[in-house]
Amino acid sequence: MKNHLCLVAALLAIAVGAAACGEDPSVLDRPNGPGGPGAPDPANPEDPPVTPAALQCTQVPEGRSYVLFDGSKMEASRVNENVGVNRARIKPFGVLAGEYQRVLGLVPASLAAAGSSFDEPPARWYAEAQHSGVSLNAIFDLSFEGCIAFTKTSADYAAAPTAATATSVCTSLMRKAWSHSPSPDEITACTTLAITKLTAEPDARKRWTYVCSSILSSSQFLTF
Amino acid sequence: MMHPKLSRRGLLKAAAAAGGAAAGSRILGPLLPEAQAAGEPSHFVHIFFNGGLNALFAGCADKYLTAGTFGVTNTNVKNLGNGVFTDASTFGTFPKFALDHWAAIGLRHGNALHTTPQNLNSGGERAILRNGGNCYLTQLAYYMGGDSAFKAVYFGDRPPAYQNQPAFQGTPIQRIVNLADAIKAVGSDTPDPNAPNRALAASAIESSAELSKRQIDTNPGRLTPLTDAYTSAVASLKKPAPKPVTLAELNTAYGLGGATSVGTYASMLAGAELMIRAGGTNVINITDFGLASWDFHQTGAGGSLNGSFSRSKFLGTGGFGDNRIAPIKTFLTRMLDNPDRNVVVCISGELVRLPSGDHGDGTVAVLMGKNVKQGLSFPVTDQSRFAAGTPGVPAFWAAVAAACKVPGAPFGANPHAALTT
Repeated sequence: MKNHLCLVAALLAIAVGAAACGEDPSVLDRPNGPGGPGAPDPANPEDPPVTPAALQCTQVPEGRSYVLFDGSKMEASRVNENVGVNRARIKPFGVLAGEYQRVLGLVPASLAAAGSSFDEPPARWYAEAQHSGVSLNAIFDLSFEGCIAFTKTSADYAAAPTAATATSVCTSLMRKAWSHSPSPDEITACTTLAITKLTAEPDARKRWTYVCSSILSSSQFLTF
Repeated sequence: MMHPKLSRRGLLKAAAAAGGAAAGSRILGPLLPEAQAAGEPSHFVHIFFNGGLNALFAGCADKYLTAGTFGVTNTNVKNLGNGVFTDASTFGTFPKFALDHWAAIGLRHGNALHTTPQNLNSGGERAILRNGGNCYLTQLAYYMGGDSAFKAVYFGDRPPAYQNQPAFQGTPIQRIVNLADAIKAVGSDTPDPNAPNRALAASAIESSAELSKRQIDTNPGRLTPLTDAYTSAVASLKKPAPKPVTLAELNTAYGLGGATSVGTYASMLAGAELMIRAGGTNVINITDFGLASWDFHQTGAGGSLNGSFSRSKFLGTGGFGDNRIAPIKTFLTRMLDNPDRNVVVCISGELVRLPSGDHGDGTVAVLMGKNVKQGLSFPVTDQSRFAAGTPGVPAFWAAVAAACKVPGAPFGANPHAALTT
């Protein structure tokens, strides 16, 4: 009997493991920080909603105090901020080809000549990437070009979005592009675009193209 | 960046204007920006030579004649009138309208250091551009009003004063790095059947902003400017297309050689014209490339060589690459005497140059525009020193605001009012 229980427990563990292995390994549904980068949280497999409140440090660590020449304490001006948050950085131009390839399975042809649109630094130099309204518009145009090819043939995009298909496509595409799960509000924003804001576009595949371009112009895709 | 030989009439007018302005700002506060949008639109172009600008170029060349300081002689200066003298082969070649509407404005900010990446919180450039926690560029852009999606932009290889400048009342300053992209963003290009529909693209990017909100809120460190970028991109896509401005036209006028990236001095001036005509931009900052790249300390037997080095750099001779004067002339010729727009141009650096080769604690700025009168306001001496009582930074911006016809007095009294109409 004891052996049977052990066997059942072992099979259960394998089943749970197999289910976990079925998840997209590139999805990082937990913020970095305590628990390790991307470490799964069995109690909450979805991306925990990070709110501005999470920026605040609630567990002040014990640290050394240093007195400066003027008598003030060095740590007095230390920013009160939690670990593992507020770390997003804009992806540099050099990685965009790989990112489009990862999400769409193709690279927009115009991207190769678009370095000057994003102030690509010279070889062996690094500059923190930033976006203006102009460069965001350029990103949207590039994404649009890629998304036209992406939605061109698949049967998934042959019919105009419905509530069900929009929810499905938005969720999966955001998850893939962002490497983490969208929140319900974000899914709603995406489906609203697909179902109600793009009705002026008669071509179903083009409607999906706008949805896809919108996701690829969001900060979650544009940042690490 | 920015003073006169005041006549009695001018003094009275200045005093009246200053008093009125002060009263207006104290009693009423700065008027709302929308108030001026109905009239002729104004645009301010700030052309900045970091590490300069020698006052001989800015209108004070005659001060250096007696001693031949900076190599100034009777044969290489030009008398523009009303006490304004400049270098004949560079600024002296600007179009007549510019020369006739040239105010040389003294500005003593009191900081003789350079603002650099290692000295971000000090130096002349910061002193001129920052108003406490605000930036004069975004403040002016806000007070100028109007409905441009890109109220303030900058060209150059780094932000003004080497760091991202704060938005003011929702008006950010954004960088333009590619003219073709800028034309597309403002919708001034020839319609492309394969390009996204502008109204639908606006909805899609609006949705992108919604999708991004949570992440931006929780990553304010690097992502806060994205909110402004989304707002500008959407606003621009929603606006009706402006009168066409083509790359071909700009390419021919400014000699860009077909390049669309902002990598040459001429491309920055072409970009300024583009953003005024197509983007309706209020404030444009153009800073020359390089770190304190006009900081010529070289001396010779006759003292400082700053004058000749600066002249060579302006003309692109002696290994200095781009000619700066030619594209500025092109811009001034095409834009300054525009019947439908009030284009105000300021050319300055942050530090006047001393006969010793070092730099002073202020600058003399050239202010040009249809509402600017020719003359000097608080010029430097033959030793490039400012007189006691030379106004500071807010007074310069008050003069700029007056030339731009900004209602109210958002930057306080304008002691240079004798030179603005």
